[in-house]
Amino acid sequence: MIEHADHAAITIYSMSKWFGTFRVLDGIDLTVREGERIVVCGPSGSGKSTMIRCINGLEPFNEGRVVVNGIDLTSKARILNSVRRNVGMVFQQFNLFPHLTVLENCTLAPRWVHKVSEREAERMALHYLEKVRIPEQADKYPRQLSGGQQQRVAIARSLCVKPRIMLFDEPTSSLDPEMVKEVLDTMADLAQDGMTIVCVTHEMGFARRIADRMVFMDRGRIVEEAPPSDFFSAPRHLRTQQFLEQILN
Amino acid sequence: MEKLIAYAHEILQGLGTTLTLFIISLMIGFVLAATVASFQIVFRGPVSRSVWMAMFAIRGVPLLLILYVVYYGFPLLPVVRETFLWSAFSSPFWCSVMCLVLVEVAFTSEIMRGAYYQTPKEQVEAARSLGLSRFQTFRVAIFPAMMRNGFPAYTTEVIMLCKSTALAFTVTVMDIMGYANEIRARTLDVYEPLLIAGTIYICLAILCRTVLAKLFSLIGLSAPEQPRSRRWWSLQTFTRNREVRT
Repeated sequence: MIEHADHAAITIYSMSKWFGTFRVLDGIDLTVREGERIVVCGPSGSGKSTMIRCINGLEPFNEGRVVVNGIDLTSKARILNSVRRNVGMVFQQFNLFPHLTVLENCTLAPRWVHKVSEREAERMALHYLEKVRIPEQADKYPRQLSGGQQQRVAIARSLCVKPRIMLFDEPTSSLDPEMVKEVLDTMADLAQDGMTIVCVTHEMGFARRIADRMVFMDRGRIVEEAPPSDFFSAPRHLRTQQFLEQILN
Repeated sequence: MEKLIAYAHEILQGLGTTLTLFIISLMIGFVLAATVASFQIVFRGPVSRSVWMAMFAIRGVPLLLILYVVYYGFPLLPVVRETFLWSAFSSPFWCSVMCLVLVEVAFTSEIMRGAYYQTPKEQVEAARSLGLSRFQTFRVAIFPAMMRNGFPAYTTEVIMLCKSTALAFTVTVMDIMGYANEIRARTLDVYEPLLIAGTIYICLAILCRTVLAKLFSLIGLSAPEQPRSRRWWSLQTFTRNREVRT
């Protein structure tokens, strides 16, 4: 038995995963403390999205262990659902429900999963919509909003289940450049509030601003882990150096 | 003109039969199609595959052929002739219903199956990541997507079914087509009765579309957009834009 780290929000022990014969994740070890903010980066196909999707069980893994908020992740639906109640996830494509209004999107999980009353759910939804600075759009449908606004609604929707951990899977990758900032600012606000955050992104300026620790992945492995100051100024591995050169220029 | 009105009166006597044929087969067909489609989605194996092949076979042969098999073929079997089944199979009306239901199930189940598999997996993941149960996920992510994806095809299918009821007259059911054909044979007037029958069928098709579109917007799964001028005959009422991917 491996010693469980104190105040660990997420602990991953030598997790591996195959897609057929292709090894997407190759012995991942990672501990995220409560309130810690991790930015994961790496070239495409390095397994970073797959890794964070494993944390809330959207992808099953083949080997190793993942412990989230003290719960050992298995494929059992009940365990997965109890983990997901404490883990919010924001996707690249927002994935709002198009036939529901912004408010309905936000109140859905509190009402259905947490059995909160309608009024209470709406109060909570408006609170979080204010937090992402679009309470005035509550009665619109997702399609009537810009990409940046939709992504902020998606963040509010995840916050409504009062998660202890937020996962972001390239939240700004499908946004127009001028909308990236509003989403990043919203995320920075969250970071200020002490939320545990694991974020896959290529926004290095943002990473520098909020990250406690940078994680660099390549070919299914974690190549380098370092605080942003060291990570950007003195990357230890050649592969990290190459990647940073590519992305910063 | 008077002749037209007289013919119209006569032909409209068949309207009730056409509508009953249509509505009964539509409703039974829908329920069975949903059953068959969910069976195929939930179970995967030889049984499910043979169900698919049976449905494909039904889709692959003319409706008229199935009708003839049911009406002329089945009564040759002692099982049908000598049991309670005979009360159904001796009636041309119920034979037509059975045959229409069969075809409706074959087509509609495939529309439903297709709509199910077109559900964007991101929608399902979003629901799962919020901690929704399987049923809740179906309700908020899969079902609405199925409606959006399958609706245009289903509307077409309903209109096809409505017109297919006309084949019932070949087994002596006196529906709209039956009366029109009777007039043609009796009076040797060809255009007038057919014109009237055609007009009635077109009206029925328009009615089907309008009712279905209304129904679809009422259940509120249609992902409303910014208001735009929408006329009831414009195609856009149905082919709503899919979500734009970047």
